Amino acid sequence: MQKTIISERAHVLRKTVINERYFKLKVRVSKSAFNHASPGHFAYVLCSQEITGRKNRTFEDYKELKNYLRSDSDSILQSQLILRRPLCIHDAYMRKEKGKEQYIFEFLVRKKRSGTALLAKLDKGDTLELLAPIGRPYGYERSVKEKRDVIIAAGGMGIAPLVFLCRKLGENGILPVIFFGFEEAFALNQGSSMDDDLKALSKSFTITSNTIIEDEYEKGFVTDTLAKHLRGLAPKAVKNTDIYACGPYLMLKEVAKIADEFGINCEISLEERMGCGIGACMACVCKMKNNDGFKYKRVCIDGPVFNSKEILFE
Amino acid sequence: MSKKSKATSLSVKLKGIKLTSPLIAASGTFGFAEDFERIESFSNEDIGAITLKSVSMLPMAGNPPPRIVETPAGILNSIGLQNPGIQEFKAAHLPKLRKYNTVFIANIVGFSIDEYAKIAKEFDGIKEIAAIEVNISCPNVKKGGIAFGTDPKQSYKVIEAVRKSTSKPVIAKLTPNVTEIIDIARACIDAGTDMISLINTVNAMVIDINTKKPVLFNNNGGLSGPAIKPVAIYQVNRVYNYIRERKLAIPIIGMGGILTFEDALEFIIAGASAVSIGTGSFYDPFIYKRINAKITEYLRVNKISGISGLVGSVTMNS
Repeated sequence: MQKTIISERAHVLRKTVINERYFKLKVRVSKSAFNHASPGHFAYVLCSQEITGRKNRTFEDYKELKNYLRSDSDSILQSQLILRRPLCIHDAYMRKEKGKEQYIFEFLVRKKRSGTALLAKLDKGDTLELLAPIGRPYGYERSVKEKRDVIIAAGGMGIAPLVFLCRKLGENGILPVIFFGFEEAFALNQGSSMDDDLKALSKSFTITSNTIIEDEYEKGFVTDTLAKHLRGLAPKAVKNTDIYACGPYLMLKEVAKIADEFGINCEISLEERMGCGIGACMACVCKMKNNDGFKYKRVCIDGPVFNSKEILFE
Repeated sequence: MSKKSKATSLSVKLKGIKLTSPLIAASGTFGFAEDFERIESFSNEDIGAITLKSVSMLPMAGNPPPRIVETPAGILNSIGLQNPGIQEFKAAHLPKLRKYNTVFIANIVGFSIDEYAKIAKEFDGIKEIAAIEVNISCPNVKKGGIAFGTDPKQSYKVIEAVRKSTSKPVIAKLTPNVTEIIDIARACIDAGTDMISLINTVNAMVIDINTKKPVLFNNNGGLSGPAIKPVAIYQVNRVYNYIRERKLAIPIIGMGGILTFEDALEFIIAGASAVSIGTGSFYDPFIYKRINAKITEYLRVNKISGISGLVGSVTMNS
């Protein structure tokens, strides 16, 4: 077994609040974690950071908690959240800081419940305990090798893994066509350079929404825009296209259907509630086609990226 | 391969099986010992023994997702015993166990007394397996598992059948979802079990207030994690007292919500000769190494020569 998952304390370099629901975390990771990371991989992060009672300043309330707990005790753990949270690697890059190489992961996070609300308390100078990178990533290297055209379809938070993907494609001379759909206030511009990044990394960046009406947005579902685009392509261009997608289940089901209709190779990133996050517990399974029936595969290790032809959508 | 047996203060002996640590990986949380090894600097050999995922005669698909949901200080799961069946286990997973210098315990499940006997016989013939844990307590399948473990007569029959099918040590894994756990423990002991492990998960449910439906597809599931630890400590201590009063030599493997070395010691003081960890390793994959170090330190500071000196050392308030 190749040991490609690194367990480490990443250093939070910056938190960017996009709006009351979304934020970005920029963390410094080891060279080893960075070198193993590929688009579609995720990090499995602890929401409660007091794990071994090591001194840190993860949360504002940590000192307060410590006051009424023996400092040599592990028992602080007992009221904590047990499960880690999977955060896909939103972006990963190397930069030079005072002549020294730094390896950066960025995460785009949506505050949902208690776990992500705790993560939202992290800020510059804190640490983030993570296991990364995990999973089967997008097979973009094949697109690069075979000089394919790439279409990226993202819905809502499904944009999260695709910035890293665009970056890797761009480094290899492929500018993808991006279709991004969202139905809730996902104000890309507020404190986030994401849409600029995506515009710079793509041939075209089309935003679609049914609920948020802006002049520059197309109205409808992202799948409508995708289908329309494909219908406008010459058969030869369709044949040379790969699709990479991430988003809500129903959107992905539709993307898979469209890819099938046009005979396009399509890879999809799925999500499911996870337990161990590394393949042992069999909690995060999704239905895959198996002869006439189905079999369950683990999203954490067999995925999260699957070929659309494998997935048995319901 | 030579098994190292260097005795340290952490070493324990369970019915002749030497473990380098009292910490055991709990069945169902560690797969077939392949997965945690994906993590850099993780070693299966930091664990005293590894209990493999339940294996049945035929492959089982398991329950539809969602199979897991987080609860206060715990998790609720309903995997449904997904496993590849004994033949695929032998072909694809067993060969990989050989490279690790630790002890492996099989965990078996069946849907009839006869099936338990058959699967026990399969594992009896596998030299990599040191002992056989009998799952009569899985709450997540309609038949089998817990249907046996909640009835003393059925528990007796299963353990008796397994006992006859193997010369390896047998471990009966008990469910807490009964009115009187001593009745089940007694039945398993009478049927010839060598050890008892407890507790399996606690029956529980989580409802989504928006959909007004249970979060788990299977509706109910098994609760684990720190939330159930006091329940487990109590039941371990009761079964320990029962065994001690009858002067029996039946070691207990205690489990339920261990996250810290203090938790592990609490189980040992309550009467467990060794402890299993499951949910805690999802939180911290290096939990075994961490607790090993801290128990070693505890023994040193308190001038205790070994684990056995602590087992059942609780003194009740009069």
